[in-house]
Amino acid sequence: MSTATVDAGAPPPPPSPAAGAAAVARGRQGHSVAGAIATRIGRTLLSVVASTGVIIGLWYAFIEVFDLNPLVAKDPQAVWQYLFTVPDAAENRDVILDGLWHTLGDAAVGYAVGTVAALGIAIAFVLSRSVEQALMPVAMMLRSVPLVAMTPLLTLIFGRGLLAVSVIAGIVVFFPSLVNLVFGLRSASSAAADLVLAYGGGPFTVLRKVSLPSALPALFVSARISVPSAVIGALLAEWLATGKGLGYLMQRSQQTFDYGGVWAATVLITVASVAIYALVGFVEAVVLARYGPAPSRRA
Amino acid sequence: MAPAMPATAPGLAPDPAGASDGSGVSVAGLRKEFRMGRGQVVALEDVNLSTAAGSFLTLIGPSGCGKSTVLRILADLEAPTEGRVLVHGEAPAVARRAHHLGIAFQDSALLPWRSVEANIRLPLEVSGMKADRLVISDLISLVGLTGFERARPAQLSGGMRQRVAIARALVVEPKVLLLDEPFGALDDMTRQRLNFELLRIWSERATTTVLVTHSIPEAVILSDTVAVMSARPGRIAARVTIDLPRPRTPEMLRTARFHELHDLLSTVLFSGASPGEPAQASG
Repeated sequence: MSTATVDAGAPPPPPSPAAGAAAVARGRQGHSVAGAIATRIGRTLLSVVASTGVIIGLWYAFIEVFDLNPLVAKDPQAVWQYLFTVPDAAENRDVILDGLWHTLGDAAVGYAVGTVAALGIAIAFVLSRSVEQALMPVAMMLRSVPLVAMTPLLTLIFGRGLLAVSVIAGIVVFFPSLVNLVFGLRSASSAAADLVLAYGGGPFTVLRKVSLPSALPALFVSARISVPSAVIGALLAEWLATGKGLGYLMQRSQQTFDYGGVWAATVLITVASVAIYALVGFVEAVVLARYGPAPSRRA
Repeated sequence: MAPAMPATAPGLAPDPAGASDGSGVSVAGLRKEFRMGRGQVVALEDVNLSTAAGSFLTLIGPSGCGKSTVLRILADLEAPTEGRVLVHGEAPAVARRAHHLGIAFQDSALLPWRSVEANIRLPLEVSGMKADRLVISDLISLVGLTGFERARPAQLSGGMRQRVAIARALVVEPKVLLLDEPFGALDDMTRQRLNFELLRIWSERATTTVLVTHSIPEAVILSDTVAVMSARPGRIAARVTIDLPRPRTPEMLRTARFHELHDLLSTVLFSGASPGEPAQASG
């Protein structure tokens, strides 16, 4: 992902060598963008494979070391049987997949609500120092309130429907995203902002032309943190508020001694989380490689 | 505060009457204070400048003398604490909103996700003017970057990025071009080459220009007038009229007159004030 640094030579450069140099520059650009994407995807895949291996290893080791009762502690093989070989396997799969889709939907709603709210507040902070000084301490204080303790209260206020899911999963996503996005919006070059102002732009033009594009990498960083968080938030909301999805299913399976169901649900939601994390990494690779600064920064 | 006229450098004729009528840049009694913690720092005190439309003025001085602040006030990026500032007869705020200003900084401030072409187009997008592809490609060839229209800033050398910044400053066809050490981060050879390119571009357009620099040769070879500033508080220590004939050529760098002017400026610069400067009452 080297960047092609070419000088145009003596002014003004003769047309043909300059055009040639530009062609070279374009060629290298195409190469470096594709290379950057491939490298990023390769890294993501490698980390997914490695962490899957580590998790399965730890899983077996944990059961072995603590000599756990096989009735409660299922190993990977037992989970496989629960999902694919026992007589009820098809029904088991249907129930868990239904729950999984529901949970992923809840997580998506939570992620969207939390990110949009964080972006809105971050923009307000960047446009006005006094808004930030007034609200940032409040935001940081709210963050330290334990969400599990607040959930029954939130259920009382927001009910047991989609609104409760949006609020609970949204809160989980909101705070890390807010910090990241404020940082990302502020990472914009102050000279570029001055430039936009000098050409008659206002703060909103600076935001649109300079700050928001500069915050794109930060948006992906916070996505990688908050997408798994959104899944946790969704499970929490389902467990304590809505009584739907995998969050509720796991709780019910436990109460009915369906330990295979608990383990299978855990495995599936984990796999889904990792897959989504990888997907975010893939989208990030493609977008940031086209966007420019990321590959050159690493060069 | 006694309004003291800036001293004219000794041995040089004062500006011809027409050259300082203030039709280009007119600054009178400019004072700028910055708040620093609890105290206040006077960045500029009683700065007076006056140039004709179409002339090239350079501000030179030690770092921290407020030369960039003068430029930022001309660009309406800072507000003066006191004093009257006009560019082409307009207040900077008016000129800024009417898109009469072109500006370039030491940091090329190119947006890394935009191509050369799109970076040059930015001022037009900001000011809501129509982006004419032909105008942009003319500018790209004016700064010698034909063939690099679609390159990203990360693929360009420092000198090429500054050329893009200059082209971008010119795209709105500004009445006043404000340049804040645009070549300050470049090596000497690239800098000299770009100086003569800037001269060529400037002579084609005859735009009123204010340049901030810390390079004496750059100031001499480019300017009609050089205002030497002293620091703490920033004020104009001397004004030197550069009487080298135009068009200026690289050969002039070796003439006796160039060296005389160079030595004069460095004397004024390093003594902090011109030898014949009258004492100025402050406050």
